[in-house]
Amino acid sequence: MRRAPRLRAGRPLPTRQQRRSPAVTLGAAPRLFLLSAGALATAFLASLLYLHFATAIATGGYELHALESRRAELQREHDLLEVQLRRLDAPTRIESEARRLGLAKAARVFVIDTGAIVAGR
Amino acid sequence: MGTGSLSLVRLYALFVVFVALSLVLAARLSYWQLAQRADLVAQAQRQVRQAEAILPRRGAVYDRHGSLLATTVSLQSVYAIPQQMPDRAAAAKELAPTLGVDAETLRVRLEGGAEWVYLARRIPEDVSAKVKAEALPGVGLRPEPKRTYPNDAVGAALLGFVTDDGDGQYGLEGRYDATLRGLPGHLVVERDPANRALAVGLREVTAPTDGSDLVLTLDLVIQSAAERELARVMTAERATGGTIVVMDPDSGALLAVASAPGFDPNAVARANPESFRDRAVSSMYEPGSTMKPLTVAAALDAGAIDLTSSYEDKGYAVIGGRVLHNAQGKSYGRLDISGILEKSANAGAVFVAQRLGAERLYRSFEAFGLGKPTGVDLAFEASGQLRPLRDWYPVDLGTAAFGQGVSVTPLQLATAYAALANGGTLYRPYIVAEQRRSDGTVERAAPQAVRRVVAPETAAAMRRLLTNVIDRGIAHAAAMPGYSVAGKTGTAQIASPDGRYLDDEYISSFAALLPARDPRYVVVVVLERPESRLLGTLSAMSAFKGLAPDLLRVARLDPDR
Repeated sequence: MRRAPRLRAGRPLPTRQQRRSPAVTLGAAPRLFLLSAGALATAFLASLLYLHFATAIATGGYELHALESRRAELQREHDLLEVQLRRLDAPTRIESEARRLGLAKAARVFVIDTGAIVAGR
Repeated sequence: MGTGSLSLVRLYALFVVFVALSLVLAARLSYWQLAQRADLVAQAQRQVRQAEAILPRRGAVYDRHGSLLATTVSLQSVYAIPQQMPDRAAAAKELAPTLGVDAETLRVRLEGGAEWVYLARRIPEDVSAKVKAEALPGVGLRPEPKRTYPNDAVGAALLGFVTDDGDGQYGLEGRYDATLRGLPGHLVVERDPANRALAVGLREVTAPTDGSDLVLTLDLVIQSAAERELARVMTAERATGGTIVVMDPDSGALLAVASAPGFDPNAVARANPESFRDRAVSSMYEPGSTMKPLTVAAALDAGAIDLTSSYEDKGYAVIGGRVLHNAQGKSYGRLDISGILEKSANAGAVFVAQRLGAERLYRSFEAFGLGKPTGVDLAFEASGQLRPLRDWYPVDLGTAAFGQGVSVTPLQLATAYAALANGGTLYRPYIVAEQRRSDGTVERAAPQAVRRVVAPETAAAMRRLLTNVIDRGIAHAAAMPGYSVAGKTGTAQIASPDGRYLDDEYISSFAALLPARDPRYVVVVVLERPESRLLGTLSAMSAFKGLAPDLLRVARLDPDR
């Protein structure tokens, strides 16, 4: 007598959603791999960004250094010109220059006494 | 095994390898970053970190109107790194004419074995531009501070100078060195091989404290005029030295302090060290007859004489068993107090001193500030010499009365005359009116009255007597048309080291109050060893007359008579 086949509980049929996306079948290791790869890529991009900014700051620093040097040089030249100006402004130089031009000192300088200055309309 | 499974295995393998390499790399990095960190950081710091001193700016010096008298600028110095020079002899040859130095001297310096050597320091701008244009390998320029005096020799002895090492010497630079020099700061910075500061590197700065600026009581216009006149009469007289002091009698403020021979503080190396001395404060001399007004003032103030007191002048006086003669042995007959000063009679001064007595004369000289430094804020002030009263011989009463056996500095004499000019108060002379600190605070000096020396009435009487000396007396050559002038000449012999007087060598001086009625200026002119000897006072008065119009112009004074 032939027995009727025993019914076994089989694997449940995939749901409609499962049938549409077979990728979800990846295990834990591939997920870790993807996460690590993503983290590395992010770190790489972050490093690139950091390098970009670090380079920009360094370049800016060198420009700053150059500008500071330029400012110091201009200040130095300014100070030298200031001294030259004062040298030209010295009473002894003006007096000798006046003599060279044939100018003579006024025998007397008249001073006008205006009296007290009174404010008025 | 399907294709998908194979790819997955390969992927896993690659991942494992990648992770393993990452771990190895991380471990290695951790080793360097954690285990070896301290050593690596120390090595890196040694390479890039530099500690430097930041030099403070040395304070500038200005006259009372803000004219610049001294400041510090940066000039380029030429250095060389011989190891970086391919041909030192050729470089020396090329640089020599530019620097104005012998080529052989340069070559020797370059081949001296030094790693780094200065070839020329603080060179002019045009020379540094040429050196830069030559662009020799191993040769460079670096700025160094240089003290500069825009008015060259004007006021040099008063200002002093600064050495290459930044130390103030003589004059104000010496006296106020600590105030002017400031305090250095510190900089710790990280630099790249090109000596540029790293933008993201360490930078620790302790800022320097710049030196204070000094504003003087000095008037550059008056100082220049005083030096001009001093140079003129010194040249005419071939004098070995000279001084002009101009003081404001109402405060003791110094308006001009001329000392000759002078020097250019911009080129100290070429100067005679003797010229560094400011004769106005450090040179002592016997004042001669310029002392007589102080003797007369003391006697008038003490009531020992009055203006009508008189004596019979025989051309000499006998005191302490010694005979003291008038200049050139002249006798003048009856002379009153004004006559004594007008004729500058030594015998008259002895007469006045005998009326006063040694004790009171000595105390009065002390009160006028003789024998002690005035306390002026200048370096190397001499005290003058006033021997203690207990050491006086009887004759010293007579000789001191007309300025022998007593020595003063020109500044002491000006200070004493200022007391006669201002109504009897002795002021401490001073030259620095303001100290402007780098934090913006200002310290102003106030005139400092030391003591009352004579009563205002005595001072007024002395001004009238000294006006007579100009109007009709021995110093008539100093008269100024339209203006009242009070003054007194003095001729003194020069003491030799053995205590005798040198033959035919004199110091001529002239002290004046201008205008006499309300003095704005005290002027003291001193000439050392004038060629015209006893007539040297004429040159001293000539210097005063040359200077007076400038003084009147600066003060905008109308004629007062």
